[in-house]
Amino acid sequence: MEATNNPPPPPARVPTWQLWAKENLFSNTTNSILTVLTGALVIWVISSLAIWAFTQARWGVIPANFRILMTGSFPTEQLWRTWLVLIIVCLSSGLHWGSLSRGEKLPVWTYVVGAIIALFALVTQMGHLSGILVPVAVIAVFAGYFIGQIAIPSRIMNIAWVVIFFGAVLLFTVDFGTGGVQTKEWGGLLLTLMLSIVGIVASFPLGVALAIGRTSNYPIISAICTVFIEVVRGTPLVVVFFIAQLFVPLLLGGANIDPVLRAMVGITIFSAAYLAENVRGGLQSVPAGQVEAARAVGLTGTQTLLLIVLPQALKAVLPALVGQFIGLFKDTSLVYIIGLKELAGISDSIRSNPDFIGTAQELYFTISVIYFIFSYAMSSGARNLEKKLNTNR
Amino acid sequence: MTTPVKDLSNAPVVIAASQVNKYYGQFHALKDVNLEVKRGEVVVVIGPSGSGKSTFIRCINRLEEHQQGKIMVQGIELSNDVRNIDAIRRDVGMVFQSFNLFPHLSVLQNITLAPMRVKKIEKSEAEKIGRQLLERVGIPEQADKFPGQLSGGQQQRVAIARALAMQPKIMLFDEPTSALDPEMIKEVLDVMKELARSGMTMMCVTHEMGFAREVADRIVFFDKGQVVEEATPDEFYHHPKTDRAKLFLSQILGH
Repeated sequence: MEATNNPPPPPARVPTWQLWAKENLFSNTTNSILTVLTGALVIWVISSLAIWAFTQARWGVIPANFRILMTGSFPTEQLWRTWLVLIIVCLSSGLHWGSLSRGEKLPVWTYVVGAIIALFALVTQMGHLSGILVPVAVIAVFAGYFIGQIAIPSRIMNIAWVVIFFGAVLLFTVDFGTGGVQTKEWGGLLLTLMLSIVGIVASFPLGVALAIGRTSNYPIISAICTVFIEVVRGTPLVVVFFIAQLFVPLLLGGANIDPVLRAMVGITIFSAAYLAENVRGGLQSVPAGQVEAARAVGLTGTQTLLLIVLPQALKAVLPALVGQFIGLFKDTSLVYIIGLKELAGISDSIRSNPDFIGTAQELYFTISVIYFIFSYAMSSGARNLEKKLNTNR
Repeated sequence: MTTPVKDLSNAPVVIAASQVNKYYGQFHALKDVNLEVKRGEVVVVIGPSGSGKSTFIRCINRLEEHQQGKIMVQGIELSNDVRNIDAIRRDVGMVFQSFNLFPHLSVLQNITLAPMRVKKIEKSEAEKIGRQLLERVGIPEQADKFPGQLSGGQQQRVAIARALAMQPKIMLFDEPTSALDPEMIKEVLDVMKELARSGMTMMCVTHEMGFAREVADRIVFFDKGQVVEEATPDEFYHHPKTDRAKLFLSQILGH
């Protein structure tokens, strides 16, 4: 046989949609039947929804109450605070995004989505100013992206977010001489986001600490952490809210503690207990050889934990953690039990208005779309992070 | 192959173990082990699996704790005093059977981590040393890859470079080639031979007889937790004194 430098190319294969359909949808009889059945089901569901959406639904309820869905009973004359925060957050997101993707072009879909959002705001005019300010926010994202690409190191943005977070909390409350805002006036998506962000940011370090504590060699620390985790995990979130609502003031001498703060404490404690168990799984997945190697080169126990074990443990459980954060985001809807009007609960207030009786479908459809957008953003962000952290390519 | 001419008669003792005993629960893993290693000496530790040879070298940097007896390393006694343990670990490098590289760090970061965190060396300086060490173990081009992207032999060479980055006085090798494919064993042994010739004090648990004959000053044969025989490589391989050593040699040479 004659030796050749060029091995024969793999057999040519022109991908067509007919070929794809034949291989994936109609490869055998069972498969074909399933394809037809699921196809029929999907068409039925989508067409029924579409008929409802385009002929029966009274979508007027959404633009008429958009402000309430977004911010609840936030005082109208103080709404500039939320606009300011929104635009700052949009700008910073753009800056961060740009700083993380040096030399990359923005994908086309971002322009499309940006344009749709801006046009939608211009056309619908849901709030008196949104027609101008929403496009401004969209432009802020793009402007931030291009500035971030050339001028901002991504490390600075991590610090910036902490500043923005505390700045936002201040902006949402403090009186600047023209009347402040009370947390009980927070509502709708604003309240949902504040509860979720505080819950995620606060429960993460607490959960990691509990996980480390539970695996600690000191029996007292390990016992305290184990009891805390098991008690909280054995309690429904609704009960945790009631406990936070009823017992926290009792423990702190009947002080008048902000109900939103109490809800945040409840969510944080609840989420931390679950997080601790996820992280513990990650800690146990790190091979003992890693600790030995770290100790053998002279790292201390704390350095080994922080530099070697924890990064690997968190990477291993990242999908589980994100799943839990998405769960937390949606579980904030349970605060309606203690009388807080977040995104899901606010629909009750809207429907109690005689003008909007019987609009539950429209409201809940919209609300679920909003929940989906945020949840999907979290899970796709996590997928990108996983890809970035994968060191075995 | 001739045994390298090395005069160790005046060299100071850097590892001194006397009457060391270790138990795992009821199991008596090390029984009255006495062993001295001099500066610059290369000691190869062999023995059947479960004989305590790995346990013993893991006691020398306190990855395992001995219950009785005394281990002195560079004149410092290994006790429960954390400062002593830290001091000894800074001077003793270790290479593991399963490499144990840090998978989330690049090759260069694996090497520079301890010098930067333990010795507080500047990053630029640590990276310079790291690249020199990668040159020494023959894989300078792999500096920015991650361990998972390297072959087993390359990973083990990185592990050696990582240990050397702390400029240890003593290197411990715990079956460094046992997890490697045959064609990769040589590249790791070559690095170890170079290290031995450079005058490093080494204790190696290994069955690589070519390596032992070429660079070892002494063979220590372990069985059932005891040092059964100590001899030069030539003596040990050609004229083993004990029946257990004869049996062991016939088993590893027999196939």
